[in-house]
Amino acid sequence: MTTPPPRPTPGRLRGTLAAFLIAWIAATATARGSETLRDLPPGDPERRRLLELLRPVMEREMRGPVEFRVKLARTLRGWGLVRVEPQRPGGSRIALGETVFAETSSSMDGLTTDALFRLRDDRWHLVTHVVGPTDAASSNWLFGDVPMRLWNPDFVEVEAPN
Amino acid sequence: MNRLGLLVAFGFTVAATTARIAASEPPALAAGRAIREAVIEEMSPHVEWLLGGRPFVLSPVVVRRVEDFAHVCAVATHPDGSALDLADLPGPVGTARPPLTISALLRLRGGRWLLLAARHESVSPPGPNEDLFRLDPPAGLGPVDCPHHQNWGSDAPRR
Repeated sequence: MTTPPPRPTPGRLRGTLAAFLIAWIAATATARGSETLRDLPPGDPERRRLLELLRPVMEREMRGPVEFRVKLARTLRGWGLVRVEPQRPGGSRIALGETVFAETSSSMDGLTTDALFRLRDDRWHLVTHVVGPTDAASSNWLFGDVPMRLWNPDFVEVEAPN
Repeated sequence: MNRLGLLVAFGFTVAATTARIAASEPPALAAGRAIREAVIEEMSPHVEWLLGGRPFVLSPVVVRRVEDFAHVCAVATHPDGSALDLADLPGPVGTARPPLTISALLRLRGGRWLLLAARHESVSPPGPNEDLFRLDPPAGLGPVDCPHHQNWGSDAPRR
């Protein structure tokens, strides 16, 4: 004769519910992009992913293989931002004259590159990038729901009154 | 926390980890999948950003592929096909020339088409392709004219 399983008590139900809630929040944050600002450290898979999306266009623009010195890599609410200094593998400097920007170098400020990314259906996409901007890219890229906090983590977002 | 709770939490953690791994490994371009669909999907986040999140559809006008490069020229409209009112749009497209036409250069890497760069037609020349073709794609890819430009008259963007 077997013993019937114990009936769930209100305490056990609460525990189950709490576990479900925590797991659900973790799962949806992964699927939609984190609600909190994430600085992506070296070795972070998401950071690697963003840099690999930027690499093909940078290799064309720099006319050869590149590696990145990463100055900033962040994600927030399904948007990603990286700021990199491209260099040749091994760390040697890339001269502007070697790049596709040789003729326009007077209107550029070095090769520092900003790139904006979007998470869609669990995949990151390159949205736009700029090499050697003389103005902060944020002044040209901030529309729609691109969060200002990607550029300035201390920025306080205030909801507009209804 | 009881055993059932732990089991549910474990299940969701496994699901979340699987989703994260899937997100970091681009799926191969399935055999027979139209390049057109793949490249439009890849350039859509750029257009969504340009339109400040407004709903849209992209109708490809020209999609050309040479080796592992593709060049796309597409027109963005409202989902019902009607023209977007560009004056209402944020950022740089406010000065675009209707219909909103976006050119993009993409490259196939690891089975996925990746956006290299995209540009929209603006009122003033030069046209977007000069910027894109600076990236030196294979000969024969273009630049190509989007057919509707032929109706723009003498002040059409320079090619």
